Amino acid sequence: LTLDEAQNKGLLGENASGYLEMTPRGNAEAKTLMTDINAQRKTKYQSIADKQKTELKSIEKIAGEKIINKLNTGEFFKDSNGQWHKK
Amino acid sequence: CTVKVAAPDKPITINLNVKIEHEVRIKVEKELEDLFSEESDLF
Amino acid sequence: NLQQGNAQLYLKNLKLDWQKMGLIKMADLTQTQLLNGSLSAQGWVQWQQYQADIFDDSSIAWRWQPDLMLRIDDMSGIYQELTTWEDIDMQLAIRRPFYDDFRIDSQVSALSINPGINIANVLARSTATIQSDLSQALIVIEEVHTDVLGGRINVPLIRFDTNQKVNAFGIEIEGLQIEQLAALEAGAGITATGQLDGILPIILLPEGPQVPAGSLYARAPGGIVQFRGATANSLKDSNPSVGLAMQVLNDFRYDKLQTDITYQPDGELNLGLQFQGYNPTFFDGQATHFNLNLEYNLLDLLESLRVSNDIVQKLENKYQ
Repeated sequence: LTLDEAQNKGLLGENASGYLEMTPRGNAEAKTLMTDINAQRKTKYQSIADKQKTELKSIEKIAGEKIINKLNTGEFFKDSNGQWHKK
Repeated sequence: CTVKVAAPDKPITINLNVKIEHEVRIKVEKELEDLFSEESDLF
Repeated sequence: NLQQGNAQLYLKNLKLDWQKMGLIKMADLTQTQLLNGSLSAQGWVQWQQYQADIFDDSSIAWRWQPDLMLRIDDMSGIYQELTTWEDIDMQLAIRRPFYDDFRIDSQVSALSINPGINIANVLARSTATIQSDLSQALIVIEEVHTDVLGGRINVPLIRFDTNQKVNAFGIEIEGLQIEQLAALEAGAGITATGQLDGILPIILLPEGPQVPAGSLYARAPGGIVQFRGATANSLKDSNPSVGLAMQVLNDFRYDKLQTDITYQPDGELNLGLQFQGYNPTFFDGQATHFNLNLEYNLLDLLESLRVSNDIVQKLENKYQ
């Protein structure tokens, strides 16, 4: 299962802090993919946070905004109030 | 920066100019854009 | 036979929520997100025909005269994701005595307005006179008081005349805490004490506010400045004379400080800090005049403060 497939099929969606989240349609395979990718994203965000001397939370917030903006139509995302939406 | 060390009874004068950059958000956004393109399999 | 009519208006605690008020378009138009608050209104509007030109019997026109009291309670919201405000109470009286100029008298209080630096406990009164043809407005704002950075800012009078290209006023600053000013640069490793007082002339240009030249002075007995940590060390190694300056700033005790301030509408802020004091371990405490010129962009600073303090998100969470 690739990330693109998981997003196109709506198994995984993006959340407001720049990480993947499982949608109600998600399965075990999607879950392992999500955990693996989120871990890698977190280390990348942390290195930016350290370099810019800013809180990790701020990097995640800006990343979330940018990722959600770039989503293709039909893909899912969760807003900061925890509501799922379809692009 | 200029420093004039004077006789003990005269005050020492030090001038220093500092320019502080603040575009934290702009730098962060640029770093994230680079990250999205370099690690496209993660995004 | 000139016609006339009037309408009564009575509104009790309408929830300030664009959606509930059926004004969802207003959110984008005003670029304002309303989170809380209620609106009450009472009064009447009277309209009548009149002869505009006393020599021309056919020059009949309508004119209207409002006499309305509007009241907004506990309004909280976010403007353009740039500034949050919390618990604004507002009373407005809109009148047009003798069908002459419109007059809007208002009183405003706000718990907090936060563009990145918290402006708290705001109080202001204003009177706006708007010509009947809406061509010109004179807004007089009086008695503005607010708490900022541990001190107080008072603005006795602002006269804003839309016909004037330039409007100017002075703000009085009392007891600004230098400690809180230094804390704005969280990562820089500066600790400083002391309080600043003074008057800043502000000029309102079409492109925005400007401070051509203003000065603040540290209150006796002055205070200390300690610039330590990673930034200081990297500056120390940059070149010898800066190294000396860093050595002084490691533990500098000042008794006199004059801060010259200039600010441009594009955000460019220049601070000329002229310290007089000594560092006990620098040339065994010889008197030292330390002139530090800081140049940065206030709008960028405010944005980075908004991002790092997550001001917008915190307010949203509070009201949802």
